[in-house]
Amino acid sequence: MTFTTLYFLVFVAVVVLVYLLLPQKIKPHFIILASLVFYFFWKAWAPVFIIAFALFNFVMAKVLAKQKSKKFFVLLMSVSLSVILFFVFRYGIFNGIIAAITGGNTIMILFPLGFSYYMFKCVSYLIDVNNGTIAPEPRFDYFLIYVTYFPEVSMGPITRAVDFLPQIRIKKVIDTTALNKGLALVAWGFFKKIVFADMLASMINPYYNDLTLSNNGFAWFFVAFGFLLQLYLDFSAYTNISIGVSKMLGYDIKPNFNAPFFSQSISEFWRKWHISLSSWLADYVFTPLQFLLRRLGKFASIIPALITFTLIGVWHGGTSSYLVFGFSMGVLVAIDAIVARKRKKLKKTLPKSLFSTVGIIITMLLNILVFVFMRTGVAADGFAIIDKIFSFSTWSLQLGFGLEFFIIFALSIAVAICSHIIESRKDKFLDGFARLKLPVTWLVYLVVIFAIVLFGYYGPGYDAIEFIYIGF
Amino acid sequence: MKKLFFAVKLVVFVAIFVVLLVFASYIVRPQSDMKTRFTGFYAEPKDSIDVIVIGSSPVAPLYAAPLIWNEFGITLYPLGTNSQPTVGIKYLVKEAQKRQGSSLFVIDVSLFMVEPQSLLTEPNIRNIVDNMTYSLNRIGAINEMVQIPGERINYYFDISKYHSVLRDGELSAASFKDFDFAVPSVYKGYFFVDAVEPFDPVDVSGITETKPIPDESEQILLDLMAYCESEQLDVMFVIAPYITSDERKMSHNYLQALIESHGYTFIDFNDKAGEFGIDYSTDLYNRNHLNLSGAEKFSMYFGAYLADTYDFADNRGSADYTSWDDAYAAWETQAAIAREKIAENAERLSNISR
Amino acid sequence: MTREKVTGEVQNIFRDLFDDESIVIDDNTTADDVEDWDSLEHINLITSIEKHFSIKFAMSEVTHFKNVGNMIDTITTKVS
Repeated sequence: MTFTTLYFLVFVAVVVLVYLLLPQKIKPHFIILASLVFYFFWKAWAPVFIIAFALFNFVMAKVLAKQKSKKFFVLLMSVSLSVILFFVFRYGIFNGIIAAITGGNTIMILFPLGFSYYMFKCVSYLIDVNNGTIAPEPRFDYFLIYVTYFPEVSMGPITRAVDFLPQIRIKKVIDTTALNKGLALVAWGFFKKIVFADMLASMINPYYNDLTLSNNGFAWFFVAFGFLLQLYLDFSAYTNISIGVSKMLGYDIKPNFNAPFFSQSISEFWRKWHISLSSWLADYVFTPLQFLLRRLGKFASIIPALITFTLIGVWHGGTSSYLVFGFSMGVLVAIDAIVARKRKKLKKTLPKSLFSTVGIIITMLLNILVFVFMRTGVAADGFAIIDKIFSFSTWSLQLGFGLEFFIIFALSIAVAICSHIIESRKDKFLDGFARLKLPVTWLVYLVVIFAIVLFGYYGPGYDAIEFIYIGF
Repeated sequence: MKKLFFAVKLVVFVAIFVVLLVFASYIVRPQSDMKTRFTGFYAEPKDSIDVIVIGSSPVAPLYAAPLIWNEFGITLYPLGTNSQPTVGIKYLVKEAQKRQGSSLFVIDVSLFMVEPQSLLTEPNIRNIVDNMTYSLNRIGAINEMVQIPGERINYYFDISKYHSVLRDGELSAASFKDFDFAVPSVYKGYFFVDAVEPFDPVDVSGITETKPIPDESEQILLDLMAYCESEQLDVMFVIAPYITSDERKMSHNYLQALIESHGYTFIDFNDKAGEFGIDYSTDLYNRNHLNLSGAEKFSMYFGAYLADTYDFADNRGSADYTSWDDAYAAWETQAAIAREKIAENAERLSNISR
Repeated sequence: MTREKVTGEVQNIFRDLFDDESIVIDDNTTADDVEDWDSLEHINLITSIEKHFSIKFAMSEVTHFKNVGNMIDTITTKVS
């Protein structure tokens, strides 16, 4: 069920209303039910898969905790299942064999919705149990909530067991403030996605579908920039909705974005973009690798950077384009490590505002270019677009965009900046919103909702635009 | 207690939202003569309309309501929409009944000769349902006419189709008055056409054979008549004058037999063309529709028929019906212009043919 | 070596590494409190500490450092 649909709103309304009325003891189980229903709506067989997968990890965690010897071996075996399944699904390995066995039955060939996300949840859980960060969850039903949790199952955030499991046991007191804040976040997410992200997408998709549409490098710069904007608005909107729904259920989820485009370096960017994924990779791949290689000086950061970010690329998709994306990011982060000292010296000598402004602009430009590969399915297309952008002789002001394009583009930037400011102030905005007088709150809600109804990208004549990150 | 208060607040908020949504939906519906006609209908006072005409595109240019009012003191209102799906007629009758319970319904059955399925296109359906106010009747109409259930939500919430008008900057300030979908119609729903297409006279009065209409059409007609009977409505069935053919006439005959066998009046105005003095060389603008010139003659004839056959109160001079006097004044001004134009067009065309 | 001495020496390492004589650390200091203490610098911190105290950390120890206090506890144990 796509988040930004009427169906999902109705689903959430029903779930929250029933949830509020249920006794504390049953509340968690109702979430399991709602989550399995949610997953069932995607494919009828999927709930069986996710339950089986959760069960496997639940059991292995218990085994791991009791294990005295060969702990690492057991951990490796348990994690392997997730990794193998991931690659099977990601690359369609065995698709041919499976199709032959099941007589072309494609059920087995499909990638379970959100597997990339909840697989990471389970792997992090096993590793944390192994190194003693968390005791294994004794109750399967509670562990099942963690894995199937519907606000997160399709697109994350990848919440850690150590942050989520304890919350299940806490008595849920959901007052009107929590509901109000949750609703505000959901409305904000809908607003960003339906009025801006989808509108941007509809304007720039034609370019990615047909590279011959323009030979103006400047136009392609706008297209690339537009995609990055769209991606941010799209994914941060999803996260807003996810966190907002969680608030209404009494669960506190950590933010996934922290004003990423205000970053002054690519390294900083990855601490603020898709935080649940980048922190996962930092904690379970980058930092351990760094530690193992710590005697190698600068290479202690360079090699892990290249490996980790290439993995990020692969995590997103199996094509060459994602590989280029990941590897490029790895190279940029490695460069950050190499020039770290020089950068620090520069920071001390230059005026602060100049340093940060230049940093932000350079980081932004780098992102605009590298994220092109996140969008093109094929690396060759990505390189072609980069090539077009750098053909400065083709740059002209005859961009071929209508006035509408610029208005939406400008407004999207404005909304993205607002979103950044809200993120950087953490909960202050929500707290402030919750404190507003009733008529003002209602007015804000009505304005936002009608902005969505009147200016949103929906209805007959508009092609539906799926959340981008749902494909990962 | 706090929970209850929250629930109340939620309900009130949702109510405000729904009301505003309805207003917005009505405002962004596209401007057309049909929207004007229907918002005009809803603006008429309750139980003030004597005759309601329902049918497809021939209706609006044909029934000159202000003229009939001025000559005979009868209030008539046309509810015509283009290529009206026959299955939708019942819903329009129901809609009209809400405000005008005791009117005479005049139903044009021309399109019953056609396969009903072919009429159920999105524009034809929307011409009906997107000119109705929100109600259970509208939902029923949508459910019956939109056959793919998944599509219906875009009809229930027609704003999903029309809201882009704002983004495209095409909403006119005038649309805002439509917020309650009740705006009096200057010409009482009449639609002026001053174009002329000359035709040779058609006389099919001698054709007496019958040709059955499609089965599905007949079912719809039977259902419609059954409904009218169950509601004990005053109904008559007609076919507007147009350039017909022998074969078509046979279908008219079939309809006549079917309708009269259920005890309802049926008039094929093609048979009465001579009686109301139609001039085929000046009075039509295409094969299927009369222009103002034809409409005037027809309306005088039909008005006289109504006056003779029925016992409508003559409300001319009544303070409650002054809007009809105003409508006639406006109508007459516009008609004068149209008459001249028609004369010019007819002259030009006859010169060409010489 | 006493815990206080360890703390003092660790503070010097911080000041050297981040080139900032004004840094003051205590048991509750975390990466959020020191500018530039990111994952790229963190490994440098670890290796500097290992070198200075001639100790070796185990991965499991490092992953459990929630703040400087944890770090100092572990170091103190190792140098006693």
